[in-house]
Amino acid sequence: MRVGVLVLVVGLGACGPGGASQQGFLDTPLVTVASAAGALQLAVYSNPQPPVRGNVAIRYRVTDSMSQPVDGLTLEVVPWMPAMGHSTSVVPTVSAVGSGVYDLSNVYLFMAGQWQLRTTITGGAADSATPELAVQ
Amino acid sequence: MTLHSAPAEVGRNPWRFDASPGTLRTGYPLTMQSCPPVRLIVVATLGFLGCMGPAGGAVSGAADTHCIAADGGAIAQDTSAAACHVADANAPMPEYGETRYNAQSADDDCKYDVQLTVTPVRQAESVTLVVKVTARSDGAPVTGATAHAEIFLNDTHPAPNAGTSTVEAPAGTYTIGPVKFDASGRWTARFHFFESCADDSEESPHGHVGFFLDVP
Repeated sequence: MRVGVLVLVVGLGACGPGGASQQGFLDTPLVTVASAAGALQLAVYSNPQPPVRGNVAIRYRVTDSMSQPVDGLTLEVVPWMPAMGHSTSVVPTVSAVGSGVYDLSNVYLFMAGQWQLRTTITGGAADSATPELAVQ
Repeated sequence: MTLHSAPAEVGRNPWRFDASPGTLRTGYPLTMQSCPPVRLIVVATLGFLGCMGPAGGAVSGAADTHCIAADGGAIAQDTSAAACHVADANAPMPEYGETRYNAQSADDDCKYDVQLTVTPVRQAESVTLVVKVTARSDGAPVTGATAHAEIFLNDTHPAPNAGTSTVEAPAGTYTIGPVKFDASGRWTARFHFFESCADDSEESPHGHVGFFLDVP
């Protein structure tokens, strides 16, 4: 009986939508954007994905033109609603995980609609990127 | 919490508390079989008492005077639907006023009077915020403002997700909830009105005001 339950649980875990990582991010990015200078690619994941209004976890996977992960960057992210002309009062926290992965916490998208993640990149590259998210 | 029936020797003290935390021992010969209504009442009462801890809410403080002119007159900024348009992509960040004490204040730009009613505030419990918005120019209810609440403890701690939504009823009164708080402290609830209108002209209906909320 216990073996049966274990098999069922493992089986269900393998059937997640799109396959989720241990941190709850899907394997497929929500959107991928090029940096303003074109030197970097940012694959953007959200949890939940697609994002719903509230506190959303965001993951960037940053690669160079050779598709190699880029570490050592410093990212400053400002969530912005372009149609409304406002940001949020909560500042996202960025953590470098390694292998080109940067996790953003406290991304407080408190209204439904189109949000931008205005991202300034320093440290090894002076660049910027503006992924857009449709928040439900 | 576990409810026990007690042996006969405690009958002179029918409602004494057992030394074990979370355990109430009664002197009455209560069993589920013999007296389920009494037991239900006791459990319900204990459950009710469990919700009676200290509650927070709006924070008392100095009355808001930012919309009172030097001569003592009221400042009331008119708004116009004609002044509502989508923000420019390079619009600057809106300038927010100070977070307000008490449960009533004008919005930051003196367009609206905002009255806040809050259900008892406790950590991890669902809280409902009701904001009544009237125009300072004529006192009329402000309808269709699509009010949103931005709730945070500090600039790195937003309120946890709780499936919050807004309902307007009656006209000009916005019920926002559920809202949950996951830490004690002095929170800010900033309300945004007519967010789809850019905040770039004095007559734009766009408005915002923040209130302090204490969470015990």
